[in-house]
Amino acid sequence: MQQVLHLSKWEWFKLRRLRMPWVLLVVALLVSQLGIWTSYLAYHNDIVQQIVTGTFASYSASTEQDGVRISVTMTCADAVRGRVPTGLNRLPEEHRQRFLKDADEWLGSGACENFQSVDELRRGFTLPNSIGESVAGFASMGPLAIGPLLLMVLAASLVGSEYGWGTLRTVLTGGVSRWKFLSAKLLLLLRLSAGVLVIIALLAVVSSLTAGFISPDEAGELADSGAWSDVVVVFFKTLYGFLPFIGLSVFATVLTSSRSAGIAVSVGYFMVESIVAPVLRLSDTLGNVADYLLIQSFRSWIAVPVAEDADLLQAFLVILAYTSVFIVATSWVFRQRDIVGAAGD
Amino acid sequence: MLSERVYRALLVAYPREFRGDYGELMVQFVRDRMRCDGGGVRGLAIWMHLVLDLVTSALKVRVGGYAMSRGEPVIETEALTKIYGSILAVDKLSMSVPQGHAFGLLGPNGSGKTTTMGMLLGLVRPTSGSFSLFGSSEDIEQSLRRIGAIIEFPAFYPYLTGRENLQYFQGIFGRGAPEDIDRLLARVGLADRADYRFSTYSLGMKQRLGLAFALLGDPEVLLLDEPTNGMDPNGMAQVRHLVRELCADGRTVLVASHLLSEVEQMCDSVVIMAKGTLIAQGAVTDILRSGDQLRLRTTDDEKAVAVLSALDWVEDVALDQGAVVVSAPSDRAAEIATALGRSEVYVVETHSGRGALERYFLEVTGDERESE
Repeated sequence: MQQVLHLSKWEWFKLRRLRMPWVLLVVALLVSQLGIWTSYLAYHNDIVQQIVTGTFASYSASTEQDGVRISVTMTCADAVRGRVPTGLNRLPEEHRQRFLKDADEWLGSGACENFQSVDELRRGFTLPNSIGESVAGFASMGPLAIGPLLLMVLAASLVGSEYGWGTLRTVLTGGVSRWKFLSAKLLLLLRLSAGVLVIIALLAVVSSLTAGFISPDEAGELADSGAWSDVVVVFFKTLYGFLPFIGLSVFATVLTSSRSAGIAVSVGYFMVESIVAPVLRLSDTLGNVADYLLIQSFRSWIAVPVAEDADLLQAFLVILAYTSVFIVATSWVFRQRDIVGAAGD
Repeated sequence: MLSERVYRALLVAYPREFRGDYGELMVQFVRDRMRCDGGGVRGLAIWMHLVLDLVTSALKVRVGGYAMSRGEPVIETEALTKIYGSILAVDKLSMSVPQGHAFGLLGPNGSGKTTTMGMLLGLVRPTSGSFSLFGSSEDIEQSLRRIGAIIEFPAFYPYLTGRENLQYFQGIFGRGAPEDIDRLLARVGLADRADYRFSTYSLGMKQRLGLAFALLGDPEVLLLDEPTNGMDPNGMAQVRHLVRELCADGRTVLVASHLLSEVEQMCDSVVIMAKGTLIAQGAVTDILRSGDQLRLRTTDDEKAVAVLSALDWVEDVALDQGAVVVSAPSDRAAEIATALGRSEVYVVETHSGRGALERYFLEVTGDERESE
């Protein structure tokens, strides 16, 4: 293990001198920031709010008491959070009861159904939820899984370039064990994944603080949008979810002895599964098969918040199975295969 | 019973350079003994073992911190075979590379030299047969740490400088000290281009970096595949000089080449391969001699053939385009003339067949030019 760590350190010596990983990092950071700032902009845009959520719908009533006009307004925020609307206690008992009855009817009509979405928007750019959402958003943004895609490109390049430049031969002639070299690459990829997630998390903190600084009143408290422990859970879940994609890409690259073929096969699989899974779900008999596909399981695994019908244990096991199969198959092929000269790819 | 002081004295007196694997075990044994009580008989046994080991080690030559006798085979192959699909790349190759020699692996392109080296370096899995490095066929990775090699073409990371490439490989191999890199770069004539990217190097410079790479950690054995490929004459001369220097220092160098002159000038021994098969093996001088030819014009060619055929050291005599072609060592030309003179056949003209290794090579490898 010590030698694997040592080799991994030297892999980083090489990798950090390449432009490609830095470009991928910038893309990753931009993607992760999209979630935070889209939430922020949507939260502060009236048109978006009204069209998409209708959050600022409210129920108002007013009456005159001793020549003074009293107005009471109940917002969705009051209703959802159980707050007493301002001025309610100043109403005479009869008016107060009528107001509460009418407000109940108003709520019952579904006026505040979308309020939770607005609250989620606010959670998207306030700590600590913004960290988890940006990490998970990087991993799987809507229909795209940017994180796995970038990671597969990086993994295929890291391994495939050794074939392309013929440097794998140079490395192995010095008595470096094949499996240790491969393990060092995998370890580096894992460390890079963790590193990128940490950078994304730190940047999310900076962005949330910036958002709070720009509009402190509207953003509310900086750190009231969830539990910090959830951030740690999301971090490790995302990291674990990346494993089969690293395995897939490295396996495809070792099998084809080519960087570009490795990228093509792994990204191709990604696209094919994205098409096949919905088709399978149309079938009663094959619908369950889709639950055992890699990307479907990955999405279930890292979804924030967790879907009500998600079977996390199944997703965990499916990811574990894919990872194991890819790693074992890669090791076997890598150890058995003759190493030829530079492929020029 | 030996006292701890005596054991300590033994360890100090037992020079590290004379310790082989066996010696290391003995030293460990002594260290263990120092930690516990023991009887005089065991102490005496340790004494005897150490003395015996010291004597046997002293009879060996120290090479790169490792004791091996000069001339002992460091690389041996036994019926080594590699088949790629339907292509027989190497066919039952059995050879032995002695320690301290410059050993040539000579053959035209596609003769199986690089595949053979690939198998020795653990890059290519033999289809059948076996090989051993430093007398061991187990744990090849461990043996490879004592070997420096460039195979086929020096492949390095194009975006790293020459110096960074060496730093990387030194780092992962754990060979030598960081300050060695400057020394090696200077030795191969790359000191002034050390901080340029590898991708900007000419072919000759890449070969030089390959040599510096092979010399990382001062290996006991070097495997060099076409080491002068792409080099200018000056560079080729430097490589030849380097190989000679390394051998003089007790190292073993296995050079694969398709250039006869290169092997002739660099190597003591040679294996000639063609189409994956070993054609000839031996000292370069012997093979040179076996290929020597003299082309004579005489006063009576037919009688000359008869006379020379009777000499047992003449391998072959034939008439060829109005000349007598004698296959015999060229340094025996005077004896040939004398023998003919005794039979009243006089030599009118003589052409020596020096450079015959090339002819021999072309002959045994079936080079197209020979058949034309």
